[in-house]
Parts: sequence; structure tokens; C-alpha cells
Amino acid sequence: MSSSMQNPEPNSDIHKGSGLPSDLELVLRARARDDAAFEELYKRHSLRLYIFLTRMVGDGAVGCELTQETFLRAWRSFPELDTPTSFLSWLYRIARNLAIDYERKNKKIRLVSYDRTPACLEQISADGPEEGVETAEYVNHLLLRVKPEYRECLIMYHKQELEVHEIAALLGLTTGTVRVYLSKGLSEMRRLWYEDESTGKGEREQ
Amino acid sequence: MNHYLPCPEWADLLALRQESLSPAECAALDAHVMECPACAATRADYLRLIAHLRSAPELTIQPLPGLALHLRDDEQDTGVKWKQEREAVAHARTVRRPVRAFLTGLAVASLIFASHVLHSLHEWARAGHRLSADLRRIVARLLPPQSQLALGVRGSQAVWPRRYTAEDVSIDVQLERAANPKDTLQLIGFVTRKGVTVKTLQGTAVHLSSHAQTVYTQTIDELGNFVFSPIIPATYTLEVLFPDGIVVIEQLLVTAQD
Repeated sequence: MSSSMQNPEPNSDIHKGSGLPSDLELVLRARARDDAAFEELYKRHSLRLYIFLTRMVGDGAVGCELTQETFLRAWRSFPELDTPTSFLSWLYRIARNLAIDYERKNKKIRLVSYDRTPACLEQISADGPEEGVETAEYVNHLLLRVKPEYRECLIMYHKQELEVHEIAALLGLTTGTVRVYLSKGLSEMRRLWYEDESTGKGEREQ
Repeated sequence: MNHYLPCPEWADLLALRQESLSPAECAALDAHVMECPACAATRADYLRLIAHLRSAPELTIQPLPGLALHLRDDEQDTGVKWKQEREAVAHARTVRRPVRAFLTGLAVASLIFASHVLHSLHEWARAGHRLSADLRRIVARLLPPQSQLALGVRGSQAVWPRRYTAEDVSIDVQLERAANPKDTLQLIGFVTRKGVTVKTLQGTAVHLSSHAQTVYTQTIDELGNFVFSPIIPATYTLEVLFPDGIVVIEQLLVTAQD
């Protein structure tokens, strides 16, 4: 069941009263093949999609490509958008599908490499600045190893600082499901962390 | 450390930010964690993980500035152009590092050559022609290619890379072509300024415009480079927006044969 009707999309009315066209106006114009309106939608939302996609795939250049691909597919598929008020949610669905496709196609060759030792991991709570950067990189590699449905919730909640109800609206989930996914995602990251610590494995094939 | 599993009934709440919890949930969770070592250990681990997730390095690549190049044509043609752009971006990933190294080396050599010119310009500025409070537009001039001094400059059709100077600013621009397909072009620049570190230049806005196209904006990155990709053949104006003035490269001609 989609909860997007109960939960408005984040920033959906941010331009209200500013004199600028709302997202809804732009979506309606773009759906009628107004490319200038679609360009404006791209300017407003490409950065957040880019951050989301880059964190999903762990590569900025791929995130850049997938951001463009997301908007291109949206442009081509506008006739399929039944509910213009759900434009962002629809855009995120396209983006997450592209990220998952990318991951599936690259699964056999993608390596999550990290040369941390268990000793480093034990010092995680007492890191200095340099070790802190290394640990942050390691933790972001952990993020790439959890299920995509958990990962997208973790990115939106902890990196893009969206609220649970906003994530639910964007992903077409219930707030309860988002809570469960956030919990399972963190739990999975924690389990992997301890697993690395106990086995001392620094490089794992996905 | 031991991997204590949290109590199942509290697991979901432990994963949420405090502000996402109701006051009642917050109080109940705190009370439980006080009495449950497993949930206390889980909460501590989650807080560390979240802190590190949030402290990830900032993204240095930005999304492409727009989609105008694709949308003006019909959908089938759009698809072709889009494919070209994706391949250009992919190509940029593979060539950007060597191109940067090349441009960096080129800039070092060019600075030695241009130092005499720049020194005289700098002295001229110090002699009283100081930058005014208002932003000035300074038109950069094209320098002859280093390897072909004897041949001189062939007007605006000079070979790539091209080097421009304006007072104490030097801008090297290079046009790169994607290997396949061959129609996709990208403009890569390297900016230096006498007495100014690359770190200081980082974030400086660069505008690229033509009569037919929107103004595109990029910023100078941590290595002093900027990249516009993809671009189409046209006559462009490139502007580097320094805090005390705008350096302009006019009539930057990019042809399909480049």
C-alpha cells in the first residue's frame, strides 16, 4: 500500500508563494512536452537524486550517469505518470531501479576492498582525525553491502536527513516498513562490522 | 567486543533518531536501555555507525548542469545524444586523471614562459592601476602554443590546448573527444593565478555560454580544473568569476572538426 497520499512529498510546496512555479505546475507542463519546464525540474531535483544514487552505488561518476538516465527515462515515460503530485516519488522509483540494475550487472566484478585490520576496528571509538576519516570510509563500504531496500532508507534518513514519513512517501512504503528497514539496515551493518572484526577479512568479493 | 543482539521489541526504536521518537517512546526506550546491557551496547554501536555515515567525505563531482542539449530534439534523437553523453562522462572518468596531469605539467611550463609577461602586468597593476571596487571584465588574450612558437598563432583556430592570460591569471583549455562515438566533445580547463593557491581558487564559478545555449556553470575543483561535458560545436564565451573581477575568454570556437 502506498502511503504517499497520507504523506506529502518533501519540499513539494517549497516554492509556494515565492512567485516561482510549483513542482506540480512544472510537472504538468513537462508532461505536455514542455522541455523548459522539465529543465527546471532537473535543476531543482538533480542534486538530491545525484547524492542518493552516488551513495547507493558508491561511485560519483556512476551516480552522475544514473542521474541523467533517471531524468531521461522520466522524460520518455511522462505519459505513464498517473498522479502528477507523486512526481518525486516516481522519480525516486526510477532512480532506485536503475541503481539496483546497475548493482546486479556489476555484482560479479565489484569488489568492496578495504585493508583495515581488526585492531583498527577495535579502536573505532577512540579514533583521531585521520583514523576517523578511514573509519568513515569503511562504514560507507559497509553501507554498500546491505540490501538495497535497507540501504536507500539509511541514505535518506541518515545522509539526506529526511523524516520517516517523508521517506515513506518517496518510496511508496508505510512508515512502519521504513522503521523496520532502518532497523534491519543498521543491524546488518553492525553484524558485518563484527564479522570483519572477527575474521580479519579486509577484502570481500560481493 | 561482543555482538549483543538487542531485544526484538526495542530493535526498531533503537535505530531511530531521538527526534523521530515521541516523548513517550523516548522515555520508555531510555528506561529500558538503562536496564538492558544488550540494548545499551546496540545503541552505542548504532550511534558510532551513524556518526561515521554522516562524516563521509563530501561528493566532489556534481551532476551535469542541464538536459537542454537532449530535449530540443525528438525522442529517438534524444536517445542517441544521451548515449553519447553517457559515454562522454564514462570517457571523462578514464581520461580526466591523465589530462589533469598533462595540464598540470603544461601549466608549470607555461608559467615559466609567461612569467615575464605576467611580471610586467603585475608591476603595472602595482604601479597604480589597482583593481577597482566594482567587478571588472578583463578579456583574456590567447598566447602562442609553446611547441609551435615559430609557426605563430593561427587566430581563433589555434590548436588545442590553448593558453590564455589576463593580468595575473592563466587559463589553459583543452578540448577532448570521446573515443566512441566521435561527435561528443568536452572542454577541460586549468586555472592558475599568481600568488594564489589552488585551494583558494577551488569553488570559483566558471560560466560557459553561447548565443544559442543556456549559461552553464561549473566550479574550479581542488586541482584547479573545471570540466564542461558534453558540449556541442559553437562559439562560446567563457567567464571565470573571481571575487575581484571576471576574466573573459571571448570567441572560444569549438568546431566539429576539433
